[in-house]
Amino acid sequence: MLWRLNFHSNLRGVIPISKYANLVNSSLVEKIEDYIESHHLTSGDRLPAEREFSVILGVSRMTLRGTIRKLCEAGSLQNIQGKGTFISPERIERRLSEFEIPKQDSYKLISLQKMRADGSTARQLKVSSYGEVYQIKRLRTAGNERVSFETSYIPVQQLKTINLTRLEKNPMCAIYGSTIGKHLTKTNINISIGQASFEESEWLKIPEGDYVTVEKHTIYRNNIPIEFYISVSSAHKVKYSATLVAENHTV
Amino acid sequence: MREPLYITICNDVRSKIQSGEFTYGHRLPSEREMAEFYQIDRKTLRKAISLLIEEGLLVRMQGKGTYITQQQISYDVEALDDLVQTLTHSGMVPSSRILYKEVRKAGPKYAKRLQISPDDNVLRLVRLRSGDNEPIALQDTYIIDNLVPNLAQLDFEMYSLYNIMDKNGISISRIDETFTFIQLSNPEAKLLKLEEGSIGFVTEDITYDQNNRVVEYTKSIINNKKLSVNMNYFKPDAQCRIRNIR
Repeated sequence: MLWRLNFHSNLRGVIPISKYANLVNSSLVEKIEDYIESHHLTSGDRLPAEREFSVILGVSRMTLRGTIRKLCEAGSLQNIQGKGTFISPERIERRLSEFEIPKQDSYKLISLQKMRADGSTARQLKVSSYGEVYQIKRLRTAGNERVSFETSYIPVQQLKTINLTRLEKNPMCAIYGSTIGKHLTKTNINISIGQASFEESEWLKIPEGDYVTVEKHTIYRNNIPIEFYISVSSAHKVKYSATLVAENHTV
Repeated sequence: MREPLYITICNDVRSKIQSGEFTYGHRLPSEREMAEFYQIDRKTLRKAISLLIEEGLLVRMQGKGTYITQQQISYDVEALDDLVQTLTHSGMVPSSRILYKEVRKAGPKYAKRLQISPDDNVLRLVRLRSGDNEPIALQDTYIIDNLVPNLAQLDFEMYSLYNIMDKNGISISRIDETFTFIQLSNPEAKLLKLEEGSIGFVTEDITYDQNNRVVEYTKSIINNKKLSVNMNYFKPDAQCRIRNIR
């Protein structure tokens, strides 16, 4: 413990130390969010002009500007030069705890090749370093939106034949066919942040070096890894969600 | 489309770090040695190295060279409620510093998340969680006021919220969680010892007790150089199980 603040026994009206005033003073954020909600503003709608909005909210223009900037950084608002402040498009939600891929999602096959696994792929798939794997690169879309650039590695021995037409439209689990699909037992997911490589940026139509989320999925069947895939998406566009359930509890 | 050379180099150095060929605390070979080894010019090498610095795998020390940083701690979603435990497991000494504490009205935003009335009181805590005195997460927590008697008087630097709930017979049945990534500004960036404009990840958790009542909402801004998200889920029920909930 570095240090501790002492608090009055009556906590109402405790004044925050000035250093953190910005951090803890969220009332303006709440006011803005409340305004958006009560006026039913949705993605693409414009907020009132700064001068007008500061009067509505009863704060100075400078205070308002600072808070709007914060909301822009958090991604919920967007400032368009000369046009005003807009509600951002909603992030695409990825449910991590579901095996099924949403219906509106589709895939476009970019490339398919047989290759020898490199060190890190081999480790994930528990195959020997020079074991043969299929490398499948695909673009995942939701409606017209390019969402993720996905690279899958599947040990050749796991998948004797690949049905090419299936790769175009379906998530991987559909490709394995119902017999294998039934026995998928576990998935491990690791999410971190990275920067778009040239290839990823081209397919996702984002600038090279832009922040991306990097999901690494290892799929197990009877505790044997059968697929390792890396999914890269624009960090501004996605949102992940999960429901975690306590052991020995059913919902 | 061929990968640019610097990406190839970057991937190679990364895999050397991951495989343990280059390990934490060691200095990377000098720029000249590396450029010679890879047969590339220094400009390309620098581009590759700066990518790895961005990723948090390397750190540049003024006048000393480039070093391999400490491994990211894996943030197990199943045990996610307990940052303390996650840190302890990875051999770090966890600490929690309360930056702010107040009892306030829920207001429309938090009333909705906590499924209470806007006029109900909530206890708000702003905490900086650290491991080995290095800041890891900044948490903004809203707890329903009637959760346990004298909630506001409890010492949250000494006891974790889950610990307190457990002692009062409240167990957690479920957490709904979302993750997003945001660009950080001050004072958040500064508190997490990150540069303004760098990226952090944000989790929002809504926790339910055994009676399916929402007990708390926490928004955490996490230093993504220190923590990455890791989770397992199992078929057939495809539900993520929370282990070691405490």
